[in-house]
Amino acid sequence: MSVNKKILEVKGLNIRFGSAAAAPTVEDLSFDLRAGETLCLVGESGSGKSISALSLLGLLPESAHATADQFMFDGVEIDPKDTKSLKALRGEGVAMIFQDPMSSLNPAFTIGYQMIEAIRLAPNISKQEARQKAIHYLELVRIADAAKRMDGYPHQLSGGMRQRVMIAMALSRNPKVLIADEPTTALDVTIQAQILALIDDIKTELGTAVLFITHDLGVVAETADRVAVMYAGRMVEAGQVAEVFDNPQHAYTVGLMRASPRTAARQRRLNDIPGSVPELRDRPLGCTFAPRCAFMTPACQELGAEKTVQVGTHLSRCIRRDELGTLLGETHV
Amino acid sequence: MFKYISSRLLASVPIVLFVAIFVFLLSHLAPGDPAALIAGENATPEQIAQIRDRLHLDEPLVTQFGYWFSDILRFDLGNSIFSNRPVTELIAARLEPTLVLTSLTIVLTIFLAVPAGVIAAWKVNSTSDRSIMILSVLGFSVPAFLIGYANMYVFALKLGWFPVQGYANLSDGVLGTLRSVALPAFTITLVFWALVARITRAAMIEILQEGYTRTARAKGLSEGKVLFVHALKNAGVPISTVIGVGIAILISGVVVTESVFNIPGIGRLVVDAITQRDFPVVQGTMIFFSVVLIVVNLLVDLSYVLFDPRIRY
Amino acid sequence: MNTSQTVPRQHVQRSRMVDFRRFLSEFTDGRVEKSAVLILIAALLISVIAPMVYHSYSDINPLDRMKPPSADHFFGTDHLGRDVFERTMVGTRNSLIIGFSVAIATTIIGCILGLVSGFISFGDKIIMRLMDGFMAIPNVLLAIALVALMGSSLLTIIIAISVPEIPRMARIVRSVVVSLKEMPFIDAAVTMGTPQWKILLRHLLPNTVGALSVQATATCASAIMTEAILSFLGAGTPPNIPSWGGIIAESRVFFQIAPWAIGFPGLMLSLLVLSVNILGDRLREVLDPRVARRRS
Repeated sequence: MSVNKKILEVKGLNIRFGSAAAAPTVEDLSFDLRAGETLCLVGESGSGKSISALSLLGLLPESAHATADQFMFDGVEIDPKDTKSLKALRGEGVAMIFQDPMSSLNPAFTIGYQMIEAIRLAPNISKQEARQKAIHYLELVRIADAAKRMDGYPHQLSGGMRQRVMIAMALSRNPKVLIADEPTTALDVTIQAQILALIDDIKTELGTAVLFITHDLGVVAETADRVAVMYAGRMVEAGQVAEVFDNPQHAYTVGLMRASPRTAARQRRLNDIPGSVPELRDRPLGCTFAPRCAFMTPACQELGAEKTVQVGTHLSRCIRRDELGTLLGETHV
Repeated sequence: MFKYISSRLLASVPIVLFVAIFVFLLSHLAPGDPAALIAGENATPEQIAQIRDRLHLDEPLVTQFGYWFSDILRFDLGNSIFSNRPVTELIAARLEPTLVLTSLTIVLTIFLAVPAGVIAAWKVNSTSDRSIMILSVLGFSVPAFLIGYANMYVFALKLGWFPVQGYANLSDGVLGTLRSVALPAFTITLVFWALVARITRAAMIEILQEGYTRTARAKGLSEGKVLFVHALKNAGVPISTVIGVGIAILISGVVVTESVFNIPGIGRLVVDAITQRDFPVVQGTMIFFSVVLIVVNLLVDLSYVLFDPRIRY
Repeated sequence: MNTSQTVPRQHVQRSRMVDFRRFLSEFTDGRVEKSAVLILIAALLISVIAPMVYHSYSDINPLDRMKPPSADHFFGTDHLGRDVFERTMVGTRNSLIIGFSVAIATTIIGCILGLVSGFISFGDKIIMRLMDGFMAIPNVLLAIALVALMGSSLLTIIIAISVPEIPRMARIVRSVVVSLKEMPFIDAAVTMGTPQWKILLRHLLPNTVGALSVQATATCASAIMTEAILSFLGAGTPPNIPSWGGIIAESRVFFQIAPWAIGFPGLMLSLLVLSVNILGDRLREVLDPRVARRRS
């Protein structure tokens, strides 16, 4: 297992709703994903993280269109507009688990049916083999009495159990990439920790690359190797978790950290970020975060302020990123 | 399960009782002497007197009803005025064509309406969706007899593919039977279709937005499997419900269509009985149809188990 | 998934009282809806004017029997040589009267029954059992039986068609009332000591208007259809009043020789019912916020 092998490489991903001339909902998104590592996409709801993930599977709504400068999956170039080749990735290439485990399993079919059906999408697998494999994966995600559960229906399981089944189903195809779209948001805190640990174990055991979508910086701290922060359709900062947390280089990241109950533990009270994410058509020139930013200068609202600059593995879209450390020391917002 | 069925059957007793009372009053509330009414226009005074005696018309209304209803419970629906044969026998003799016609109609409807509804929901607001919706409004708006005559004109008179009228018994060959009921069944289907297609569409639109539909797609299932296996099974409950509700419409369609195509079924029996003022037959067939309606709706409720594992009886 | 947030939302919460002018413009956008409104207006005009203009619609002309459509007889003639066009035009009135009367009668009675059974649990059991009973008899059969019982006149036919439609209306009103009864504003009214009849009229009735008007439109269409079916089966409008179903019923036997005598009135009937149904559909879309949101 080569830890450093790039599985997924995306450059300049744009997603638009409606016509090709419409303002992009996701703009110039670039990231890569290596085997056995977890990349966290963080941002408020509406920042475009889920849409970006869905575009990797060709699951965008019909009105949405994706374009990219480069889209490489496991060394093969794919056109993100070509839903057919994206469909071919589903399952064995990219598997996805979703936010709400209560609605992600089909209530009308048994757990076994849904798993076996997924496994048998691969060629030459008999029903018996598929069943064995399904039970194996259910055991892998630590479901007790896996063989018995196979004949049960989703409604007989708790939310956490259903999410385990979803994970087992996703893993049963040995996907190279596992996308987890806020998989713990709908669960109890104790179950949350279990599911996070499970995903982490699987990543190291199977060498799966994990793209983890969340709005919770605490979750990022626990699971991620690298993190990418998204705001209003753009990636505003990205880097190794330690880099970003210790030395944030975008005011939005700072804001997120101060608003997060876990990372802001040292503060006396939580801070929210004033204002709200701008509507698609109202997005300002330059830095999209400028109108809400405490450190905004006139230059921030000029074209060009949104350019990314990368230093080592640390990437930021802030023109004042070098001063940010000092600025933060002065203000106690 | 058994407990549920028996409790449901028990619950339908008051409904049957209501229908029975209504049907009973039908002949007793009609102006004039019920005996004369039941005996028919050409009856002799002796016959009328005989009927008065048989129906206990000289006793109080409640007692009369008691006698009559206990007869019904023993499957005795009285005798026809015209043929003087038992109504149950008449219904039994007419059962085959109606049963074949309705079964074929239901099968045709499901095969036409369900895919149409699924496709309309899949491509909401597309041209095919709009066309399917407009076609379905047409189904509600054109009377069955007109569709019947149009079908007869085109497919029987002009193209000669099917017999114009009449019914060929099953004992004379299944193929002949199917040919003889093809046009009438198609006619009722065009009316019934609309209802089922609309419900399928509405249910599927909601289901296609569900998380499990997205899961099915993300797994890599083909779109056909996503639509017709994963989504459709979840639409099973509303679809079978509407088929149950639609049985009443189906029966109206059968009554009309059997008249148009001259098919000797139960629908024809009712219409003839009404024009001949053959009250025992009218009463008997109405009770028969309402029992059918109740039984079908019970079957529909039981069928939910097939589609939704959360439902248990 | 966050798609709903990323797409700009145009339809924010609609106020309960829909602005009437916007309602009208929304209601009649689209060519299909406009044509439906035009057809309905045309039918209304015809039903008023035709009986004043045409007087010879029941004149029998043995020499002109079953003539195909021509400049003299737009819709041809029937087996008695009567002009089908004139009969059809005059028959419009009958269909409209029946359609509207049934819709109004059903709405009023169904509304009262639904409100009472939804709000007074004592009445609920009795009324709903009764409605179940009526619903266990197929519509057309029930109507035929009622006509057979009461004899055939315009009034008895309206009654006969209304009775089987009432249970459905009552159930719809009841379901709206039952779901509203749990709402805080009703609780508030009750705790303030508002008398029940006032709650019924002031709070519950206005909230049923949407569902009621959709159902009333559907009832109107189905009543026009049922009348034609009754006539066709020989239990409809008496023969001295020209009606579409009646024309069709009389010409049935001669279908193979004179299909126009069935086709034209049938077409008119379908066109009218279709228009009413399309308007009903549109009404549902405009009044039901769930459907409206889906369209946007």
